[in-house]
Amino acid sequence: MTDREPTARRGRLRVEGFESSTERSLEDDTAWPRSVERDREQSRTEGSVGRSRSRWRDIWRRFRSDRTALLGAAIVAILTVLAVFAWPLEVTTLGYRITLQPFALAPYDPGELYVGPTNAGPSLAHPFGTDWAGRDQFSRVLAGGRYSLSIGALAVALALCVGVPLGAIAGYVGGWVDEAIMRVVDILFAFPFLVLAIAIVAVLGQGYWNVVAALVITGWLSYARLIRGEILSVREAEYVTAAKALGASDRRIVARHVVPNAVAPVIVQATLNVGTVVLAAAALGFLGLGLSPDSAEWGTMLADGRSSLLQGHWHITVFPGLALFAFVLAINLVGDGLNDALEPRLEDGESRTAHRGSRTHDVERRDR
Amino acid sequence: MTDPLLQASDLSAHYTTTDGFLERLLGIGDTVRAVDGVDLELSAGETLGLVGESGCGKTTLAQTLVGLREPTSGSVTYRDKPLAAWSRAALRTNVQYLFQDPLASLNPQQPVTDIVSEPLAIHDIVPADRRDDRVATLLERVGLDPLTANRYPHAFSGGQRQRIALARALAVEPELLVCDEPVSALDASEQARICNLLADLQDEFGLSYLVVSHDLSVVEHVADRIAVMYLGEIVDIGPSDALFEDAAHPYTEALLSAIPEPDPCWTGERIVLEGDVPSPIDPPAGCRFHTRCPVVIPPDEFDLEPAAFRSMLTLRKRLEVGEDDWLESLVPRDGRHGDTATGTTEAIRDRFDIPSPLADPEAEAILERALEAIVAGNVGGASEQLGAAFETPCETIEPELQAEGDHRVACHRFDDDRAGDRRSRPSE
Amino acid sequence: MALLEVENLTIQFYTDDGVVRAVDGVSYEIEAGETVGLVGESGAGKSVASRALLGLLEDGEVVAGEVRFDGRNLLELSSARLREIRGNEIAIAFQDADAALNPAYTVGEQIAEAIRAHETVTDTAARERSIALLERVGIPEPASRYTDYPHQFSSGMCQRAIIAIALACDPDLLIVDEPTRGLDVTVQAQLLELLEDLSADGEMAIQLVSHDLGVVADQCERVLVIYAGKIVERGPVEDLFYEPKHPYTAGLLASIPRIGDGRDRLASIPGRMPTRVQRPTGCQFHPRCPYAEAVCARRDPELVDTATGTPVDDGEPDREGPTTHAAACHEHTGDLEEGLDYEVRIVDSTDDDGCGESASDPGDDSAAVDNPSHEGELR
Repeated sequence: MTDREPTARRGRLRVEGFESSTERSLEDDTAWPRSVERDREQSRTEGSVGRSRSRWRDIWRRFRSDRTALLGAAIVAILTVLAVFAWPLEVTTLGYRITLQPFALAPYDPGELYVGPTNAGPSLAHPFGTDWAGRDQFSRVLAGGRYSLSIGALAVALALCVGVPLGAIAGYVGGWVDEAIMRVVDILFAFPFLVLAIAIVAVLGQGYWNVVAALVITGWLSYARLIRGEILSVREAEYVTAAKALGASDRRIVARHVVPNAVAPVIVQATLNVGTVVLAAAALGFLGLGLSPDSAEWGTMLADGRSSLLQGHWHITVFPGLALFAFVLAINLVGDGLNDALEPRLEDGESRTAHRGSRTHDVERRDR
Repeated sequence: MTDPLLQASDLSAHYTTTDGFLERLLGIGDTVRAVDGVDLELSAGETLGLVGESGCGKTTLAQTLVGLREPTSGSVTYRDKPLAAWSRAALRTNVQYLFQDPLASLNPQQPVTDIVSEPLAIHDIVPADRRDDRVATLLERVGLDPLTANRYPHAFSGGQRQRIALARALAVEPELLVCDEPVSALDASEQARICNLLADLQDEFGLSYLVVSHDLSVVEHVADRIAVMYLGEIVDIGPSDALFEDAAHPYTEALLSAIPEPDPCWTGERIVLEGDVPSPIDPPAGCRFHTRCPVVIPPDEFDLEPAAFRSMLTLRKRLEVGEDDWLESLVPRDGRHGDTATGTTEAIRDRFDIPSPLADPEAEAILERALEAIVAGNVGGASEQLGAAFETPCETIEPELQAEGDHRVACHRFDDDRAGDRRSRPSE
Repeated sequence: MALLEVENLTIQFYTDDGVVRAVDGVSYEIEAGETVGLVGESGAGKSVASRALLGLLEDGEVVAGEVRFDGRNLLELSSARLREIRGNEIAIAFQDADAALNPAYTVGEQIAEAIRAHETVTDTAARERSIALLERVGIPEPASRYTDYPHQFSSGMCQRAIIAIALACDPDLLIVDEPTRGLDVTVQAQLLELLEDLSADGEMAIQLVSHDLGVVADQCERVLVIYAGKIVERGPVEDLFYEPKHPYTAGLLASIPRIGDGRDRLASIPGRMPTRVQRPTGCQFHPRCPYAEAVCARRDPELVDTATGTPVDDGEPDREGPTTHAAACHEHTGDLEEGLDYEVRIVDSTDDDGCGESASDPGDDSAAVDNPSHEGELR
């Protein structure tokens, strides 16, 4: 084997003749890319690019394929419909009465006293029983969704309106503005969430809007912090630099690259927070700091039932509690589903296995 | 050489590391001299390779060259016009940048169609209704099936993602394409195909390339000329054949020798550089490579082997750093207390591979005195003694790039007054 | 009996898209003290196969096969027994050293921890041995480096520290997974020197998993080429590089850029490796193989001795030892009509300056010597 003598020469060994005939020949389209017309002809004959689909349609397609998330969404939808149509919705202004919603799914007026015996267990006439004042529990649970759900939606929406712009400004502008906003956030974060809410209600007093205000003041913090972090990391992402290298304007970069990527975690967080806020509203109600004690709000109803529970009237607390539980669970399912749907990277099994594969290091660590 | 397409003169790009509010408030922070006084030119139609280890500033240089970063000082001209004088649209349709990590440079929330048509939309190159067709042509040109255009970047392999990024860059029909590590994340067969694709595109559209990579074998394959970068400076630049065949900068030789040759019978010498690349925050004075250079120039007064001098210089640099707890571990612990001093000096020689004794008796005497000073605890004094006695031009005078055969090298071994025996390759 | 005998190892992954066979009937053996390379592109299954030896698969499952180490079947051992072997007799140095070191502990503690996991030693003894290990893997001033955290180490030093952890209990077999991926050439050179030193005394066997043919040529005595979960070629390193018998190996060798060979274009293998559920019929490589014929799509070729054409994986102990040059291609059983039309040329070492010219002029016989032993097969 004379040809295998040791050598210090580089590039001595060559494998030749391994040229694949299947590699596409490149000489065909030498006129590219100047002749647009020819390109169009070509792509027509070869099947054109599928029209680009909208981002939201893709997200909906991914969300739809997640059954548990769909179940959650269905529960939320049903509870919302029930809450809206539970009892006619009327607004009184300047002496005029305007009926916004005339339907009544609830068999009784949720506020009417003594429609049945007091503290009666579930029966055909009153499926969820009645409370200490003889009010129909079923009607109250249905109508109570109105308070809980609207407080949840409103408080989260308003908190987003406050938190997202502030966080975004902090993330973009940076410097002193960032420091100022984030120190306020830090200070407010130093109070336990519920204690702060209780303190605010204690100052403002009871009432629907005061509860919403308390929840907004405590709620915007997490959005501000989240969106700031997202914007900081997205701003550094290489695809943003890549867009700059393409000559994209700042407005375009923000609209096409920063917002879509930064906003997804906020949407997920907000969805999950609806559940938290509903629970917090219920907690305030339970502590007697929410709405007026006779209003049909789930938390307030639970507080009412506290004494009845000791007397063995389980149904008074169980049904509002179940409603609360079902709603929060459903919201969490939707949030998880949204999380996956907003992240195209999780679309196929391959990348999921890849994610898992990267964690095997840690396993080995533990084993050792 | 024809009129350069892109030219940098005395280009520097520094940035400050500050994290946190307090540091910014107090103005604390280190200046990282990522690129420091670089002259470079790129002619139309050529491929210039830029090679260096990670952290040497090659990506910063590349991004500064195309205006993605502001230079700290110096200037970049494209077609004889400073970058700042170009409108954004004009510059970006002439110069494009291919990023290191194709996945990170593609927006994960956009399907491929949107990614590739973005430059078409930004610069309004093709009317909106024809963009999909153009995207299809672009994708086909880089070897992707246009029918996959609705997928998101994560669904593609590394090579395919690089092709997507390439299609996006080509959409504006640029003249110059800067490729940052175009193939380093890819497998051998994909690497070869991307290399071939880049070559084909160059032939077809007369592109000029600046290829940035840490992989010398790839750069040697694709580039006409190669610039070697070390700690923010260009130390060696020339035609790729000349760079590999002639005597070159010791750093280039070390880089070259370190590439494992895919030939089991290859017996070439591997030059292993000691230690790590120094920090660009406080680069060494003189020649920046002198802290690791295997052929650092010994002072003329002594007759020293390059290897022996290298070892002594390493010892001296170590002494200058301070933190002398490492010395304690060198004190012999075998109980021969009477001989500790001699034992320790021998251990220090061992640790730094300094021959005992040195070939030059005068040098040996100075070294012995310094070693005794170390044992006596006077580390600072020892380092001063050594520094005064064995000063090398490499650590005091910064070498300039000077013509050496076909290429230009920044190394004192090629200074005219030092020509002669020192030109020998370090591997010999 | 070899130190490690892997027989018909088959590993499956269960994904949302179905069952993926990541390793498909792989058999090989490693003798004590030798360095064996596992080469393949990412996704070929080489890392999975290496991890499976020690039961470190997270969501894959070994569905068939045996892994005998010193005569014991590792796949049947209890997890307690396996833990004893892990690190003690077989150790893995993972790729991506930054991720494999725990950032919350000092490097020294992590090495000492690896020692303590298998031996009862005092803290001082563990510390001293850790420092000795750091020194052995070439970390300067090990005593003061002992208390450094991983982030204070450069990436090359992290990779050394990972090797030091693997060496903690003097394993008989060290599996090194992509030791040089992502490292600069100068750091890579330091690491290759270290690996050479480790294998030099001939006591420890090394299984080197790598995609880098240069590293493999430099370090290994024998090489296994893996494609789509199967060994397609194996043999002593010189035979494999000078006479590749499988078109995939030849393609890989032809596609890597070599310094100074003056080629304008690199040869390339079209397409991608099948990684997903749907596999081609017959030979896994045939959709990408320029020499594929009808038979390749019909029948999956066995790994055969390229000299005799007899199967080497018949379950019998390999009579000629593991040094047989074997390849899984129909060519070697005489089933290909056209044959494999590639050649390995060696540019004569006396031809000192004609390197570029001879490549562009294949007819220049004085500059090139056709590989004589390969010629017989070219038709």
